[in-house]
Amino acid sequence: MLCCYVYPVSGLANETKGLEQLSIEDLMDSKVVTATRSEQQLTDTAAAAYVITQDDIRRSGATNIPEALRMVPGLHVARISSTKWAISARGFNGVVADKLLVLMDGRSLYSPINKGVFWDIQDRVLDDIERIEVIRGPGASLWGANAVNGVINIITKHSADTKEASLTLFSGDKHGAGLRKGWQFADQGYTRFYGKFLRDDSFDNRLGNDANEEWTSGRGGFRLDWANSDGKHALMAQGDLYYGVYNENDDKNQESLSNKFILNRVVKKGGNIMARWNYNQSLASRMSAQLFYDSFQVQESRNNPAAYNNDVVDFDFQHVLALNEAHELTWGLNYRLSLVQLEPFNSDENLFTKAYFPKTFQNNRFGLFFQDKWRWNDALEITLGSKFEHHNNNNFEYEPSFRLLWKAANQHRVWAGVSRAVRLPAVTDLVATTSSDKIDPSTGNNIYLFRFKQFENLKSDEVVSYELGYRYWNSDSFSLDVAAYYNQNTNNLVANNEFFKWFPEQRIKKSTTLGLEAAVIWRPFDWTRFQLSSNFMDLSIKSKRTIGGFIETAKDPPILVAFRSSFDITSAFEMDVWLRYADSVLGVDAEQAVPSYVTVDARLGWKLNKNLELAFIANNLNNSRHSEFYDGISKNPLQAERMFWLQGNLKY
Amino acid sequence: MSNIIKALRFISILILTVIVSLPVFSQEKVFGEDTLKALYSYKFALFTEWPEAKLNDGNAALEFCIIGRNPFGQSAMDAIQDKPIKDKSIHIEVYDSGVLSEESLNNCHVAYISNSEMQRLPALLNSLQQFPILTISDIPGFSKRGGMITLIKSGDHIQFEINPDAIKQAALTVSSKIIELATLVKTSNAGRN
Repeated sequence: MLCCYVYPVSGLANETKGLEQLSIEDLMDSKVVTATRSEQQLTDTAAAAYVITQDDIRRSGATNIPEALRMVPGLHVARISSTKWAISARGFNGVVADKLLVLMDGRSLYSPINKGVFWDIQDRVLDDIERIEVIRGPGASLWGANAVNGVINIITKHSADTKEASLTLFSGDKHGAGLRKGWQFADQGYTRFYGKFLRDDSFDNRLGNDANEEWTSGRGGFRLDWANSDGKHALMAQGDLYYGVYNENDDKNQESLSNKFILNRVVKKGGNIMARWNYNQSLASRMSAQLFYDSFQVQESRNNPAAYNNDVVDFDFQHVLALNEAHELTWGLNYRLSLVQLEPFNSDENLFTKAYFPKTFQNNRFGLFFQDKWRWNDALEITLGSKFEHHNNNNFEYEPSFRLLWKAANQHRVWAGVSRAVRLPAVTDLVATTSSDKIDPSTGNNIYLFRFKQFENLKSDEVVSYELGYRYWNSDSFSLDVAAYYNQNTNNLVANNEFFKWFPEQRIKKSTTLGLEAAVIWRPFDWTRFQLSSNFMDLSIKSKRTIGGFIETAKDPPILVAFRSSFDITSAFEMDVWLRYADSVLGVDAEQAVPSYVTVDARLGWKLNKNLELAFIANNLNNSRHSEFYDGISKNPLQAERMFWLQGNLKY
Repeated sequence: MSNIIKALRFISILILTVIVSLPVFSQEKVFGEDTLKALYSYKFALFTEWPEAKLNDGNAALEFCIIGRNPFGQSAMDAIQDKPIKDKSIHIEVYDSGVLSEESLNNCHVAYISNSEMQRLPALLNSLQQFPILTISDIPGFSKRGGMITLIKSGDHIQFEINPDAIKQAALTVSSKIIELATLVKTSNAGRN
């Protein structure tokens, strides 16, 4: 009885057949293999969805969130430099990808300044992340504006699950440390604190010179969960503070032979605090109310704007209600106030002083949504909903969605969706008029004043998306997930102001994207897992506009392929090998082109005991010096190089 | 293109090396945790007697309701979906958002409470109490808080706790064959950890 029940492991189908005939004693003798992850139950989602689990993150060797996102099939994750990533799905990726919404525990990470996510300020002790849910395609009817081509939900662990202390150290071509400790302070009250430090290496320019852009960042924070004794009320609160500093190399793209570059010193700091109250009114009804405040400040020594900061206050309410067997209704409302300040770069060498008006850009956004999940019958589920939003620069916006899930047969699912989503105007989209008739009394210089039309009515960027998907799985041993989409994109917003160069993608006015995404997971043995994903995208530009003298070309690789393999060599040793291919992208100039590349990452993990784990991680093992992204400006994009590091994790 | 070929060659050599160098593999592994928990749940249902009225409610399926975020992966679900039980077959219904109407609840024979509902548990058990529904969960202390069966991971194995009083209160009977193998507990206020 002490030994284990041995079930013959077959790589073939029907592994689960007959399992129900095992006796209860057999089950009690059965062993659980924790290393074996079971595939997540996403089969009943009427959208192109993918989940990264904590185990995936651990095995990827990722040291921060953007690196972990490389695992998602269909997500284009390109690292531009030490601190900058371009991440998006289904096209229109950019230094700031304005069509992807990212949330962490319900808090929006989408910046109101640059309409995208500053990935260098988003991080956590990765062990505290429970899962990352990624939906490709519009999610605006539920999540609101800017969820145009995708939504990423980063969900951290409940603090009851992080009571043990965890210390992570890594060193090599990059260095870092993360510490987390949790406590139980009441019957249903838990909390944790964390701190993390990261020092990442700089990229090389085309000549192989280091761009001197090493990045140092530190952060700390907490999470608290509490529930009252009858379980009707639960409270979650969390907060973070962060600080990051790096140099930005203005000359990195020039063919300078020396390492004496002119550096732009960038300091980013900020913090956020949020609280969410959950009210479990009854079995059929639950509500949540959430409030967060987020503050972010940047100082740059040689760039324009020289300083920018924003403060956001956001209130969100949601109510989920099971009306009867067939209908589950969700509705909610949201209010967001964002205040943005931009300070122009003024140098003593200039004969004029630049100034922006207004000093503070104020933005109000109000939203209301409803969604009905309708179980038509056992095989058919319909989701119908829409969000309605009001915004300073946009009186009314609607974002409807219609989705259908057909449980065609056991292990076969078909889904379809039609939806509209918008990207709302941001501060940097505002049109400015200029004047230079005033004199700065202190210097005698002319003041060159940019007067932004803060409340001008602007038309949002829009997508209408048609999607079709199919899933098949045979137990955990094989699964296939295919999605096709046809998007009609209209980019109405134009930053026809001094910020235009940040957003080269807006030079495409009307376009359509046709795409096919496929992912296959195969587990021939339960110690072996292969995942192959490929994505094809065809962007056809219907109309363009010229801004700043440039005409845009597409910046997204039309083909992306990833192959991930995981082996549990013994119960103590794990090996992961990961290959990624991205097709070439043409720049406007030949030097801007990003050639196609193949890169291989690998991780070797060793669990010494249940407390200590060591891992050796290699990035770009095949040493293909490659640029991953054409930012629309740089002549010779920086190149990723081979990196090795050793990582240790101690839990007690 | 030659880069791709080089990389592919490298990868295939690597994979082959691993496969060849591996011993005849540990036939030791048996189940993922979720599959084992699903199989246990099926067994528990098999050895449970529901009141006559509940069983003859005109439902051709034995409804296995998952309340909260689905903890079961594909193979775990496949292991019990449609499996025969008392002239019926198992039908899994997932209430991911954790809410279900009283109508839906009335259909459930088994309620598996997901870990995502941990903090809400007292309220949830309170609502379930009046119904002849077998409640199972892997939330620690579930049975001590008034739930019927708790699945507990202990080392490499899964064991279970049963609260016989809770079963009796719901007018259900669980076979002595199961009860004998369980750790028995009573509802207590101290069971909240």
